[in-house]
Amino acid sequence: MLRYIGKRALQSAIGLSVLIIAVFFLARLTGDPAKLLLPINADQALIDEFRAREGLDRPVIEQFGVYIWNVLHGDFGASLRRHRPALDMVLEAYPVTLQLAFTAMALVLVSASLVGSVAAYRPGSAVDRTVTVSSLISASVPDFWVAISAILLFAVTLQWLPTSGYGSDIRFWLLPLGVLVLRPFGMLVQVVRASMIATLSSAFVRTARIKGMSEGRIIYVHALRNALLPIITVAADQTVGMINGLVIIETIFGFPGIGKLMIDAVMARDFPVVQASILVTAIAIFTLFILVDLAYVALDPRIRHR
Amino acid sequence: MLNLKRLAFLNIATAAGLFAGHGFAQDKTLVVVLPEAPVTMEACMGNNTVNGRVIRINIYEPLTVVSDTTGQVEPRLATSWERLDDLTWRFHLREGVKFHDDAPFNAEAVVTEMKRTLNRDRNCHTEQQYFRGFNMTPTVVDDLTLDIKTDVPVPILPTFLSTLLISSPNSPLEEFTLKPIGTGPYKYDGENPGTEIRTVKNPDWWGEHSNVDAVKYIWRGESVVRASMISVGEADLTPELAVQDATDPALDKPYVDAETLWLRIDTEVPPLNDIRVRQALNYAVNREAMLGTLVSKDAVPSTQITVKGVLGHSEDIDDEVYPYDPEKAKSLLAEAKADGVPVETPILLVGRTNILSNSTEVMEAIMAMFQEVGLNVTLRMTEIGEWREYHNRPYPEGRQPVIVQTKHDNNRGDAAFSLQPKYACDGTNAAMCDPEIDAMIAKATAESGPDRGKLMEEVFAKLYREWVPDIHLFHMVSYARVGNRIDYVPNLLTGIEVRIEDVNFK
Repeated sequence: MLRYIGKRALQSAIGLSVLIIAVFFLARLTGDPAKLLLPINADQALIDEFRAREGLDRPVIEQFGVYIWNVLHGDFGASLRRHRPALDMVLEAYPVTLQLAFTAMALVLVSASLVGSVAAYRPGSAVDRTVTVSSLISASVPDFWVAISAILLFAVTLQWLPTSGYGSDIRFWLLPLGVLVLRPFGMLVQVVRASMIATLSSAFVRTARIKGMSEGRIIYVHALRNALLPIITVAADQTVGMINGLVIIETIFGFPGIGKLMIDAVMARDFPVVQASILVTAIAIFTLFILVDLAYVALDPRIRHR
Repeated sequence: MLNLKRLAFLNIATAAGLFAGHGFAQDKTLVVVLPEAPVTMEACMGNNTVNGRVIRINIYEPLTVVSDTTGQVEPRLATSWERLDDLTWRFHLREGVKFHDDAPFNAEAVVTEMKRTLNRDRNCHTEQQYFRGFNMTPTVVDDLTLDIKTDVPVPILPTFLSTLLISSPNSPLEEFTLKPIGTGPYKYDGENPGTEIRTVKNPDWWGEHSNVDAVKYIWRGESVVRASMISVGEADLTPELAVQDATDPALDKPYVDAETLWLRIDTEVPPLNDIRVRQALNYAVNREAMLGTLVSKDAVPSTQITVKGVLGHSEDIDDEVYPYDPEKAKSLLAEAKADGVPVETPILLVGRTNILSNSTEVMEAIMAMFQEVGLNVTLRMTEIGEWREYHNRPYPEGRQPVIVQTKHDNNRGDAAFSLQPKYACDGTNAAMCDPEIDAMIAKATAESGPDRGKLMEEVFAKLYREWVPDIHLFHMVSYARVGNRIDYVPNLLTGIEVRIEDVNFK
């Protein structure tokens, strides 16, 4: 197992290296930060001065060398916009995003497994059709629209919840989580349903029924466990999408996470922050995928990593 | 390893803080919800809107301020000033003022701040935007008297100094400060990173406080969320709402915010170098049709890039807005064509996304209006970086004729800040060059006497009537939502600063 983890870590390191190179050069293709960060009346002399000060006037390959050297020494540079260490800004924002993404995904996994299994139990039934249609709607509805509608309904009209804000009080989390889970819930319900329909028609399920095992035990203990592998794969993919796509939720509900930080940095061509946030995100995603691989082994003893 | 205890503490503190503001808290803590978090709390970045709304005037004060009603320069940390000769100004400083860290405010502190702000290595917007055209040498005369000598005559130095925010001499000389220390009516009282910034009343402030004890600044990017927060009492004030969210006449206060929207014509390239074509463009635009549909119904059709209240704004031409007259436009184009002007040349209309709500729709409508009178116009919407290539000199040789959508925000109270960059031959954003106009601008901006305003008015009038380098659209209107607990009247300067001293709990 340790050998496998080492191998996966090495693969991830190669992936990360490619990513670092790609992000560095692609970011510079977006244009000159001086033209976004300086006052609108900035003349060419001021632009040249800014570029020289930030080292942007040097050959790109030389800038890359300096960047790699600094990263290897734990220095991700300072934000061109905020004049603060880029890594500090990323590490301040990241826990919020992880809290939000993992809480949402835990809720999605549990609820989608339950609902998808119920739908799969009798394919074509009224329950199945209702679940299918509602999950399709859930997966298709724009989260921006849902978020605003939810605020207007639950915060402004009913005044049950705060409109927005971040804190440990559960009321701050209900609307963001409710909006955030919708799309992955819809998708995962579909995956669970399909996977469970296939599993419930397996020989081992028929055997379990012949042995008189209860339907609940058959579905939620035996069949679901066998159907979990594709579910976990899709769930991991959805989690990655969630981490990268939290910007809308963060912007609307005022959560100080990485999504908004990253988008603001991209829009302002704040290269150090873009690079640091993508690198930290990538490390988190590579780690997640290694954990998913390990989960495969735990769930299905037939799988053995070499 | 992240400090989870710290995180949990921040969560609890944030929750406690927000709920203190929720449901009409009894204390006099004002909750201001902004569209964006401040980028930095550094004094030399305090003239940027996102930073200024928190720190400008409230935490840091300048020597002078510009009146939002008259455009005149008024005392703040300087009580009076006089011009000793063409190059030297003397400022008399307010007595008995202390910084929030108890350091005394005096001439030496001003000199220290000038060194901090004007240090080019610090990349300060205030220095880049306002102090590039001349050099200043300060001399301490005594504790409360400061002479500033410039290398060229600067007749509006007191106006320029309204942008120099004074921080404590104990503030870092090189790095941007994380803890702002000024002399203002409110002191920095900490923050939850990414969530809120708190300030409390400075009991030692020299001026007269409002009855606001403390202020909590939070931010939400979505206008509808900000509007909702005021409606349900989670916040008391937001200085900026999108027009479609300003739906509550009881709470929403429109205000002219010094921003003017217009299209700049590249007068150096045919066919736009012909005045008849430029006039035709102006006649082709149906401004009335855009009011209440694409822009706020309260926006005011404009004839110049500064608003009323700015010294140099010409009221003489305020009523000379081009009427919508497509037939007149067509006849001017026909006349130009008969004289050999290549009016069929493809013209590029360059818009900027997010320069205002409905930016793209406004530009699409204008493109259709130009096409209707027979011009060959295509629209290109750009992000700010690409837009600056069209907006700022140097422009490429052999370029096609371009009309650029732009917006100007002169909240410094003096049209000199507008005329030179937009219309002088070497103006960074100018797309025209006329030695006569140049001379008029130079004369007007060098004037320090009572004729200064009149001379600048003459430039605007000549530009509008005889040059037509622009297609003026609207003086824009913003909306603030003001909660039921407070009294606040937004003004011309609300776009860059929200003075808490002007806010009172009922």
